[in-house]
Amino acid sequence: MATLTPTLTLASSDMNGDVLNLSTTDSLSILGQVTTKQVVTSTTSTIFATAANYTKSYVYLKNLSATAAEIIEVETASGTGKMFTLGAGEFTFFPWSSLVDLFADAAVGTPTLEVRIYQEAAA
Amino acid sequence: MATLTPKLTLTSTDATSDELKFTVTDSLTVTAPHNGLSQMIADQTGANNIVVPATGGTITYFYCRHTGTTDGVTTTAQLVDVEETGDAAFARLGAGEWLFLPFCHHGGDVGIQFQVAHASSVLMEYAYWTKG
Repeated sequence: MATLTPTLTLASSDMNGDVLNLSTTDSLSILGQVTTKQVVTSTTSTIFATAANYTKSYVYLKNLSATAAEIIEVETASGTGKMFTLGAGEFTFFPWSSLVDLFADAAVGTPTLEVRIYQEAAA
Repeated sequence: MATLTPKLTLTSTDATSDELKFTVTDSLTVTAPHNGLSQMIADQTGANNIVVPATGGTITYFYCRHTGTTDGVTTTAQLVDVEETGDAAFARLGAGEWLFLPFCHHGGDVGIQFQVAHASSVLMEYAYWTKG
């Protein structure tokens, strides 16, 4: 068993006349599957994480493109199940229950998606 | 318009034989509607716990965290589903876990809600900002 420590900070100095400076961290027990890869996406929806290969996992994704139009849609069904979008340079981190597959579908072009998946150690 | 700066750091000394230590950051332009850091006690009925109203199809940067308590004091390990308002879960948070993502659902005009996995309550922290 290993430990993954994610830390997120959210900061803003010009919102609501207030300063936002949120920081949160966690200590996650992980075991088994670790995936680190870069996927060249296209306008054809393509699976990048197969649910059957994992139990609950923690997923980090980043759109490595620097071209604003090269948005990557992250879907739970090929071509139809969009859950969120990653603009150029945007990233996300979330716990994935691995009940559904994850697909990537580029709006235009062939942006590269960085993928890191860490499987949770069973409780 | 305002600027939101998210930064994520992932570290591990034992996940693989190569030490993991990296930080990624971004500069996001955000606008109204937005909701600053807030807390709500979520229950088992998703419709009671809508934290992001229907977005109209806009991209919404969404943060939430399971506080590990029912009310800020009493600890709980109950799992919480993070769902679009059509009741489809896209994440499940355990105590202390959190997520940050740019929500934009294929259904277009839908929002985000919490749903506790069993008949219980969990104090959830959340915030969101609309992409500018």
